[in-house]
Amino acid sequence: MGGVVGWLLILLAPLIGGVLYGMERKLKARMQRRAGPPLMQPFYDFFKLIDKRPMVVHSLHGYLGILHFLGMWLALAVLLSGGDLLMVIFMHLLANSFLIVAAFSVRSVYSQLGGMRQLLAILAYEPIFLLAGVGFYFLSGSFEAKAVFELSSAPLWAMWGIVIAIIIVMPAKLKKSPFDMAEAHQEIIGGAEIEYSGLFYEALYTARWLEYLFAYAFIVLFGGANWLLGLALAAVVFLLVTLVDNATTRLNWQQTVAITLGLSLPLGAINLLLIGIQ
Amino acid sequence: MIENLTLFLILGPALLALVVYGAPRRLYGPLVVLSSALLFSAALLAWLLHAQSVAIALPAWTHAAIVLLDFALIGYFLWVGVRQNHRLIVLLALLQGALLGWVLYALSAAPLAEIVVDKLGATLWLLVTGVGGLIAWYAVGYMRHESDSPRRQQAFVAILIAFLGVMNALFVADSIELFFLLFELTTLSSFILIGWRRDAASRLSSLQALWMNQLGGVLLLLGMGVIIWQGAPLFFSALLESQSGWALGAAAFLIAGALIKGAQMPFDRWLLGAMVAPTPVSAILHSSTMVKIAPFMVLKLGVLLHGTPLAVAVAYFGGFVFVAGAFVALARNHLKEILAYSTISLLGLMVMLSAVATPLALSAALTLILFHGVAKAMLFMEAGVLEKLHHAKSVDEMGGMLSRAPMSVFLVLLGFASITLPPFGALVGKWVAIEASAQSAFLFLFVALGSVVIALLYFKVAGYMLGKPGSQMGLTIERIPRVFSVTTLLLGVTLALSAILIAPTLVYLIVPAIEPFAPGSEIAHKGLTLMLPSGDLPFWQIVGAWLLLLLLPLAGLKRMRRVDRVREYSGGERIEMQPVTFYFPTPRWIVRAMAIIGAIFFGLIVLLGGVLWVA
Repeated sequence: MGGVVGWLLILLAPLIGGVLYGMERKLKARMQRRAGPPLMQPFYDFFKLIDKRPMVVHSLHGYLGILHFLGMWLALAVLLSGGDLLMVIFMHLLANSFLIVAAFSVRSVYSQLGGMRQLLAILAYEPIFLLAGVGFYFLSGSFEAKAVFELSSAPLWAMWGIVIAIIIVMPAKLKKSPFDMAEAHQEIIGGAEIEYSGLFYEALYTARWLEYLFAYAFIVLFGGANWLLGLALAAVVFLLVTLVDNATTRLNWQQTVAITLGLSLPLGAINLLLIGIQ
Repeated sequence: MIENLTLFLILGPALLALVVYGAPRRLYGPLVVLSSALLFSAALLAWLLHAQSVAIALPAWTHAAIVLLDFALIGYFLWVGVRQNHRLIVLLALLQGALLGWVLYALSAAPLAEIVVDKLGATLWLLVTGVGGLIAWYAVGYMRHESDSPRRQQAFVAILIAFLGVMNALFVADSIELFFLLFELTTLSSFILIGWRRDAASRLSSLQALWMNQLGGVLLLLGMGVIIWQGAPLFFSALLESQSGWALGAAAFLIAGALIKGAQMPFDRWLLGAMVAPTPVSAILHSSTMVKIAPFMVLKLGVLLHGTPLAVAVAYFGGFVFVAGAFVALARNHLKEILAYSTISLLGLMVMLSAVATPLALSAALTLILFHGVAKAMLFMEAGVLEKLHHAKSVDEMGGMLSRAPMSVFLVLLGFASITLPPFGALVGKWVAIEASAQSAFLFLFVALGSVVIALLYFKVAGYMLGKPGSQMGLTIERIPRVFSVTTLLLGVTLALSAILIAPTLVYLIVPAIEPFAPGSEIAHKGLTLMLPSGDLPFWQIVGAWLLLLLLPLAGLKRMRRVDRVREYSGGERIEMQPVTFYFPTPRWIVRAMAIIGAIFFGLIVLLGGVLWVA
C-alpha cells in the first residue's frame, strides 16, 4: 500500500475498524436469526463508555490499556504503510505485551488466567504469521508489504497451504470460538479485559477494532496486486470465522496449541518447501 | 599503539588482579572500579583506533611458556581427578596430555604471528571489558553478602578481573596452540569459580563442568592433530586459507570442542550445575562472555564452512538447541536456571546463524552475541540482587515482587523486553536472523518457533513478578546498595540507548567487524532508519516502539488524579488472591529425547570431522 492512501487508512483505522466490528456483530446475529445491533453500534458504545465515571484498579493498569491501544495502532501503521512484515508481527507482539503485563498486574484470578492464556494464544498463532512473512519473501524477494502489493500473480495460489494455516489460527488471533480461551466470557469473564471500565475499557475496545482491521488487512495481502481478489478472500475468511465462532465450542489451551501448531505449522512448512523447490 | 593496548588488555588484567588481591580492604573497592574503567577505556581506544588487522608476533620463549602452562594445567586437572577419585577426569587429563605431547612432537615452527587483532576481536573486547568490568564492580558488593573472609572475597574479584585478560586474548589468538591454552584456562576458571562455595553441590557441579570442558579440550586437540598430521601451520588464518577437505575436518573438531564450552545439548548440564556458584560467576562466565566461545568459533570458521554438509549439520544443531533449550526452560522454576537455559537456547541461535555464514547471518549472530551479553549480564545481576536483598531464588518466591522491589523488577522486565520486543538490539538481531535464514525454509522455522517460546517463557516469569500488588499499588522505589543500582542501571541505559540508535549501532559497530572477512551484508542506515536488502526499519517505527516502552515506567510512577479506584471483581466472594501461573512440566522422555537428538547431532559433527579428514 504505502503512499497517501496508506497514511489515510492509518489515520482512519479506528473508524474503519469500528465499522468492521459492527459488521461482524450484525453478521453474527443474523446467523443466529437475531436482528442484531445497528451497524454503528460500536460507535454508540464508544460514546457511552467515554461518558462513564472513570475508574481504575491502579494507575499503571489504566495506562497500560491506553499503551495497548497505541501499540496496536502502531503495528497497524507498520502494516498499512507497506512496512516489513516481520516487524509488523513483532510490533503486534509489543502491543499485546502491554495487555499481558496489565493482566498480571491486578489481583484477579480471571485477569491473570486471561494473561497467561493470551500468551498461549500468541504461541498458537504467531509462528504461522511469521511463516506467512517468509512465504511472501519467497515470492517477492522482499519482506515488505509494499512489495507484496506489486506481485502480479496473487500469492494466494502459490501459498494455498499458508492461507489455510492462517485461516486455522485466525480464531486464536481474534479471540473467537473455538480458540477464545484467552477471553472466555462464560468462564473467566473476558480475561485480561475484566478489570477495565469506562474510558479505559474504551481503549481496549478500540484496540480490538484495530486488531480486526489488522488481521483482515493481513489476509488482503494474499491478493497481491489484485487487491479486489484480496478483499474477496478477506470477506470469505470473515464469513468463515464468524460461522465457526457460532458453530463451535471452546477448546482448552492444550487442545488449541496442539491443533494450531500440529495442523497449521506442518501445512505451512510443506507449502514453503514446495515454493522453495519451484 | 594498538600493540601496546593489546598487551595491556591481555596482561593488564592479571597485574590489576594482583593489585586488587593485595590491596588493603578500604582501597580495594575503588581499585576494582579503576581497573574496570582502565580496561574498558583501553578497549574503547583500541576499537576506535583500529583501522586494519594488526599481527603481533610473540618472542620465541613464550612458546615454551605456553607448553609449560599447558602441561601444568593438565597436571592440575589430573591431580584434581586423583584427589577427588573421579576416573573420568583422570582419563581425560591423561588423554589430553598424550594428545598434546603428540601435537607438540610433530609441531613445526611456523613464521606466523600468534596474535592477530582484527576488528571482530576489538569489538568483542568492548563486550568483555565493558560488561565484565561492571560485573567485577558488582561482585565487590555481592561478595559482601557472602560468608567468605575479606581476603577470600578479594581473591574472588581478582580472579574475575584476571579472567577478563584470558577472554581478551582468546578473541584475538591466531595461534591455535595459544587458543588451546586459553581455552583450558577458561575451563580452570569455571572449575574454580563453580566450586567456590565449597559445599557438596558446588563440588559435584564443578567436577561435572571440569570433565565436560576437558572433553572440549580433547576435541580441540584432535582438531590440532588433524592440522599437524597434514603438516600445516597451527594457525586459524592458515586454516581459513586452505581449501582442502582436511581443513574442514579440523574445523569440525574445533567447533565441536567449542560447542561444549557453549553448553549446547547434550552438554547442557554443566551450565545448569554452574548456577550453584555466586551470581557474578553466572553473569560473567556462564552467560555473557565465556560461553560465547561457541558462536565465536563458528563465526570465525563460518566462511570456511559455508556451503558444506558440515555447515548444514552445525546450523541444524544450533536451530534445534534454540527451540529445545527454550522448551526445557519453560518447565524450570529457579530464576537462574531459567536464565541458564534461555542462554543455552540463544547460543544455539547464534551458532546456527554463524554456520549459515552469509554476511547478513554473521552480522545477526554478532548482534545477538553483543546484545544478549549485555541483557543476560543485567538479568543475572538482578537475579543476584533479588537473591541477596529479598531472599528469592525460585520464581515461586517472586510472586508480587513488584510491590517490594519495583526497581529490580523493572530492570528484569527491561532485560526480558530487550530480548523479545522491538526495537531492542537482540530483537533486531532476531529480525535480521529470520531475514538471513529465510533462504532455507526449515532453519527459519526454528527461529520462528524458538522466539515465540522464549517470549512465552519471559512473559510468564515477568507476569508472575507483577502478580500481587492489587489496588493498594503505590510504588516506592526500594533502597538498593549503590554498587548494585549503578552497575545494573548502566547496562539498562546501554540497552535503552542502543535500542533507539539501533541503525547506527549496527552500521558502525557490527558491520565493520564482519565486513573484513565476509563483505556484502548490505546493512545501511539513513539517520535512525535501518536498511536491509530485504526490508527497511523506518525511524518512526523505532521511535514509536521506543516511546511506548519508555512511557511504561513513567506510567508506573505517575498516579492518575480525578479517577476513582475500584476493587477487583471476585464474583461477590471474599477470596484471598495468590498470584497464579501456569506450569509446563516437560515429560522426562521429552527431555531425554532432546538430549539424545543433541547427542546425535553432536556425534554427526564429530563424525563428519573424521570423514572429511580421511577423505
